[in-house]
Amino acid sequence: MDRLQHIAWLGMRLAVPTDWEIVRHAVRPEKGRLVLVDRRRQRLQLSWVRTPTAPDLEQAMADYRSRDVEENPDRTFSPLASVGRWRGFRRHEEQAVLTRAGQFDPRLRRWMEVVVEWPDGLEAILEEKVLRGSGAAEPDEHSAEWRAFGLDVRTPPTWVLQEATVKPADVRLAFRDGRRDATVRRLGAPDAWYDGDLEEFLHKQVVGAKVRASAREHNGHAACLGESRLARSRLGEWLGMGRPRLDLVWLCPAAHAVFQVTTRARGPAVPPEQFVVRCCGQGGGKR
Amino acid sequence: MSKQSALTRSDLLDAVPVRNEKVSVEKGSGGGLVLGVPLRERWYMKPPIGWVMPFSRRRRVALDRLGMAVWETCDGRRTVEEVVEAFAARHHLTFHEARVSVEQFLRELVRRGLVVLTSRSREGDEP
Repeated sequence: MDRLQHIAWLGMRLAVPTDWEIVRHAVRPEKGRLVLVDRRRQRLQLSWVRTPTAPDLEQAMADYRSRDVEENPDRTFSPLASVGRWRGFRRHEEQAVLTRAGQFDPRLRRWMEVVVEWPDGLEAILEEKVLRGSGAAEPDEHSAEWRAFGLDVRTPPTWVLQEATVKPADVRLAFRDGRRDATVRRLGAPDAWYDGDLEEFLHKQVVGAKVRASAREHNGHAACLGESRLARSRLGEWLGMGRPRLDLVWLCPAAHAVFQVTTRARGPAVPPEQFVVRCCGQGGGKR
Repeated sequence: MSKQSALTRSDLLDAVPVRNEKVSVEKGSGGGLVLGVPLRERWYMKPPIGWVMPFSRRRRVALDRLGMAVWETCDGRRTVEEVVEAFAARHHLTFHEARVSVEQFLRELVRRGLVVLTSRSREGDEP
């Protein structure tokens, strides 16, 4: 239970047990939430909202608590010792405990609130680990970090997350930077669908354009780079016009997944290697 | 169906999928299976119409390798949670990823009459 996974999302980080998984996610930095469940029930919700001014943290949590007391008069409440920047309280109902804490991050100008549920009784050590490991991530001027849904990606800092599509064994994070866009994809369960031919996989992925594929190595694995141009018409295709598209795909046997980084641009092509994807401990240095 | 939709996530994980004993199993192409489930005999299937138009008495459902793996794990003893665990381990998926796929597949099997979901306690009550 004490093995923790580290999630990085929209400049925030979360440390939670490995069997807690994200089932709801938001992609807007202004307002949103992440909801995590264990096998049977909701365990954690991290919600955030961007505020122009720093709220009075103690007062905000006192207000939350008095509202909670009003709504749940039959439950007992106890204070939560402050952990890092988090301030909050606990609500008790028989053996079930709910931890509620808030903090404001001045750099992101974001009010964050975390609610953790302990249906089988409080695990105080784990509670502290979760709170200590959660909050605003350390800023990195060279890249932004995304670690969730089995993907671990560092993007150049100007790229913004547009969409996260999460299906079983198929996760896509779509990023945009002005007139350039990129998709990082992780396809699981390759033993069920992948026949071992990266080039053929690439040709199936790029529809409506000729792909020039070349073999290379990436993260220590055999990889394939596909170069194509997405033209609006057949004439444009003949004339070599259109947006350059690059696809880098590789199979990581240790991660049991095929990874695909696709970039499209109006203007010079964006090398997919700009998106540092870690698969089996390979790819992009120390974290 | 309405009873099924009232199941909570916890109930569903505790349920035991049991195969319909009347389902026939054949090897399919590509390493999968073809299941045949008997259809209720309708009036138009009977003679004399049935002599002229030979209606199939079974609905055939093809399972790919993934579906076959789940079908084989539905042995009447393992709970949905155990089926999900086995599927997740086999394909190196997270529990939640596997749960979404397996539950969706099991619902389809239940809809087609290939599997029923029972609870362990009820099963234990049976003589």
